Amino acid sequence: MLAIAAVACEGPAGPEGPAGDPGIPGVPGDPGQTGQVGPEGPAGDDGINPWWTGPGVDLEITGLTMTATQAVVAFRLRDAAGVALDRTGRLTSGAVTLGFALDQLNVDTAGEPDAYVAYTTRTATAPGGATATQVTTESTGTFAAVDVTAGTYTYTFAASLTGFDPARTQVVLGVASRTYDGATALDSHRFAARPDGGAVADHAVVAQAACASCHGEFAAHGGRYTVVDQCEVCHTAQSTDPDTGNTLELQVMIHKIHAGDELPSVVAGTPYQIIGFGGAVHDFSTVAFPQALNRCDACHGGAAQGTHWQTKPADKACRSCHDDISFVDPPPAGQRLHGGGTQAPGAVCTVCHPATGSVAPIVAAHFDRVLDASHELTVDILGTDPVVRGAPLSFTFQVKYDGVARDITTAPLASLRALIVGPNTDYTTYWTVGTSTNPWAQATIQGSGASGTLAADDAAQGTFRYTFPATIVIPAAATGSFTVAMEAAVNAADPRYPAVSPSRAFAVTGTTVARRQVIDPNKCNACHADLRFHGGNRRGAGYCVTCHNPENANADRIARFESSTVLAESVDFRVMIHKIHMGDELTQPYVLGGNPTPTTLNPAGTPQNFGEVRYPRPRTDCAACHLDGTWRLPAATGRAQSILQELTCTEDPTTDTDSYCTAPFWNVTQTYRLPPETSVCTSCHDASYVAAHATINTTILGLEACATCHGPGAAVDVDVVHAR
Amino acid sequence: MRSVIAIVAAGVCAALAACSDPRPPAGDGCAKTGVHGCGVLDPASEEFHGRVLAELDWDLDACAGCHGADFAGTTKAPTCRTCHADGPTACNTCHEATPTTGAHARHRAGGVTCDQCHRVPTSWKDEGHIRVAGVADPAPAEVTMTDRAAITPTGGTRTAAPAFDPATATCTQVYCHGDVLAAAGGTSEQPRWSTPGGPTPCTSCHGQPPPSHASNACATCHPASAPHIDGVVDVPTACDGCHGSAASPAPPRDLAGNQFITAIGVGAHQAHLTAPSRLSAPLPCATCHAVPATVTAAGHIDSAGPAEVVAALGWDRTTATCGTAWCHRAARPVWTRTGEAACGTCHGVPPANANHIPTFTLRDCVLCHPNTVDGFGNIKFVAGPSGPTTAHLDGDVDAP
Repeated sequence: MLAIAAVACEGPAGPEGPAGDPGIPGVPGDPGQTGQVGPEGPAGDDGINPWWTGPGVDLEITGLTMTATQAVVAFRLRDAAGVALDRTGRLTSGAVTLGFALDQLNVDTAGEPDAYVAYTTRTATAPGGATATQVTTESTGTFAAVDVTAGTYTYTFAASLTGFDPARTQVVLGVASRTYDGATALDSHRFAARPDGGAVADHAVVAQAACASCHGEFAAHGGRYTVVDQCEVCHTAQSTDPDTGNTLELQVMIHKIHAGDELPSVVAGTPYQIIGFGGAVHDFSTVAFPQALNRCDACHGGAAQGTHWQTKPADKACRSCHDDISFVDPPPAGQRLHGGGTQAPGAVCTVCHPATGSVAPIVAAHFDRVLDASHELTVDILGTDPVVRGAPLSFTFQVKYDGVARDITTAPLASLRALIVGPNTDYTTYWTVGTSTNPWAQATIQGSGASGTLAADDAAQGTFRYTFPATIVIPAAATGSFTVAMEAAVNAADPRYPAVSPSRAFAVTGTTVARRQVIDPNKCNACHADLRFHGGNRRGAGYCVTCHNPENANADRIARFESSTVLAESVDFRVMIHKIHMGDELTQPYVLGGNPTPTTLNPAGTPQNFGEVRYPRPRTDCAACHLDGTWRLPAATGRAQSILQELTCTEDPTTDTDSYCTAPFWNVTQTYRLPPETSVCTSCHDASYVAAHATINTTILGLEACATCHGPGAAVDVDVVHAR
Repeated sequence: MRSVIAIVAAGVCAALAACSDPRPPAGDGCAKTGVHGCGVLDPASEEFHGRVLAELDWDLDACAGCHGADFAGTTKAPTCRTCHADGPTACNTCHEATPTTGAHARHRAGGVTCDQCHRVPTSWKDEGHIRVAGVADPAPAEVTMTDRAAITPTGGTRTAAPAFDPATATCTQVYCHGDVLAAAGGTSEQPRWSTPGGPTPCTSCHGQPPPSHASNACATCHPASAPHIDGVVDVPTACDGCHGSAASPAPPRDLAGNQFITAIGVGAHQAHLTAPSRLSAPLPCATCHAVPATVTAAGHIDSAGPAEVVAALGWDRTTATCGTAWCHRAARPVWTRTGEAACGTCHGVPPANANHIPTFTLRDCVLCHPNTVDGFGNIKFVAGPSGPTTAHLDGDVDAP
């Protein structure tokens, strides 16, 4: 072993050793000279104290993450100026109260969005002890701050996530409330997500614009919710009113609310009510839909799934309006058996009620023949011949049907009429035909009782010339501008295909000045679809004022009983239309006689009480109907006074057997004239003290001082008090 | 066995670097004192013990005679474990316990054990390992595929036993790689052992899907939890293993996993089977399809999808309509839409023929078809032995 070791010591040279340690660094050199001072930079922006907040609250939901066991919503809180808020109110003024509802949007067999089902529910208890499930917002989960300085937080739901399917759209609705300086601000936000990352679906059977067309910017539940797709989150099939037992499911509730006084159950005497917060009774039995109720497109038109009412009929939706239909025999009290007999639960409605075809198609049943737009008649007044006072007026016009010139001498219209009204400063003068109390100065061009002269200027182009009959002349004393207007319809019965009534101003003396235009007819149609009245031939709100002018009271249609004295209300448009829409907020009844007019057999005529009209948006929102600023005071000079007439019957009741006041004894015994500003303001503000206020502020010569306080910039500026 | 020898030599060389130090090279003052020459530990020497062992046809027993059965050394000879820690007869003396050459590692990672391709000896001296009949067994190592590689699946196309060709380094007739699957459509059913790459894609052994399959939703019929390449095609025995649900063997779901009627594989299956429209009695599957007795029955899954429809119906997959089905007559409702079948879509209400008065309404049908409809025109149903039945759409006009 020693020998071996010795041999090993004599081995070859070993490898090169490691490098040595580095040397000591040298001494640093001297620093260079200091440079010159640079120019002063610009001032920085003013700093923002992150805790200095203003009023308002803005809730923005930024995310929703869900598993089968946990749902977490991420959100941001800011004030109206965008400054982050501390939810608890310790670092910023005013704590923010929050609630969140969480739903799953299920799909039908075709994979289309179907119904929302909420995870967040509660048991509501009526004062009488009845209970019902309702979808609700919750706040009993866990809040966590992510970054208070950014106003970001999370909320983990407490509700069980039963039925959760990650392949379905999940929807969270949040509502926030914050009181700052004594004023409480509200905000809400809806957010949707698909936990599996798939495309988010939406149940869009109603477009927000459709709601807004009548309701403007609606705000439900005290202003908390302002968008219709928020409504669906809580108004699911799970929600019921414990007091009435009525379902709060949107597709049922919203139909019933809008059907209102046309609901068969309401007509039969059962009010449709929902008991709200604090036991408030919301009775929708007097709601009148502002157009044909069967025009489903009024609300559903324009929505992504807006044809579901045609293609997906369902028991609940259909019988929300047709609430007297029973699928069982014998029907319960107040109901009638379905026209197709008894039907089992879950029966497929489309077998008999597809969109089209079959035995009872939906579209045809919900088709408003009055508004049939499959054809379009247009009439344009092209011009007037030189005006000769004391002589009948001649004017030219063009007729087109579906865009093609129509020769009305060979294809006459069922109804074609013209009238003259003036002066254009305020319509007051119009011509009566014969001795009728009907003041309208219409001449019939085509149709029963035609008069005047119709001649073709160029029949191939649909242009004609009409000359009023000799009984209708331009008054010899007329001055200024007047207006000629027409109404026309293709058929005598619906669908009539009436033209939008045209009008054209012309000068009797001087230059042509058109009557003022203060409303936009399209705004009327936004809610009323396509306004047409008096049988359907008078189409478009612009035509109404020709007859509904200051010199027109409801005298010819008011009830006329023997030994009676009645007041015929003004039907001046500025009075009538305000009162009609003021409806249930009027302090005094506004009853007009309608058609049929009083007769020997029915001296009462057809009174219509507009005191139940429920306006669907704030009545202070003048711009809902008016052109901007046209409501401001003072009114232009030259406006006429609106008349109301007192009529008295002097007939001896014993002279005949009826109670109808015959003509010789039925006379206007008093005409009351309301100055123009007073008439329009008191049409809504109709309390007697307001009338006294207006009277006090009007001179004996009829000069009104309204603008003194209500004019632009005055103490009670109309613009301010009617501001929304 | 050449490669094995090379491995042995390399192993011994590695050991020599340390063990040769005490002994000088031959001819450099070393005197032979025992059975081994001076170069016994010198890989370059003709006396190197590895060379000697090769000449002995790897008869390690000869070594054990002096170095002990465990090669831990005896009074006659030193231990071999100084260099061969596990003893010279351990596997890793000649080759790695987990070889990384060729596709060894990839197979091992895929769960393939040595014995699936090689006969694994229990001892170094097992016949056929490194010695055959007392003499050295030359390289390369024999590939003896049994077990999975030799599986012949039902309907398989095996023409020979699985084999590895050393010349081409290719496996043939190997079940594992789909070479014996019928028309599997794989892109590499006879893979080369030496082809580099990562995990073998599904498509190397069979198409995705195979040409005979309608869908690439594999898990629809082959649960992901079932073993793979185990010789068994895991196809459920119940209809709803591939289509339908626990509630019904008919879609949804379809073979592609679709759930909605807008998918042609789902369509109006349930509308026909359950007849919620109550236009007819519920229709059995056999009305439109040849219903197999078992999953593997002829005509079921042995051809490419989609499922065959009874020819008499005139099914047109392009338009998703039945062209000649008497059930709907000329209406041809679209299979993938709802609300297609309504009262009046198949025949007029009333039918426009001499037997019917045009002013008849639905309520008049009962006058001549009292067994079919009630006074409201609703189709009448009665309880039948296997569910509700109706005289409507039963092939017989109920008329006087």
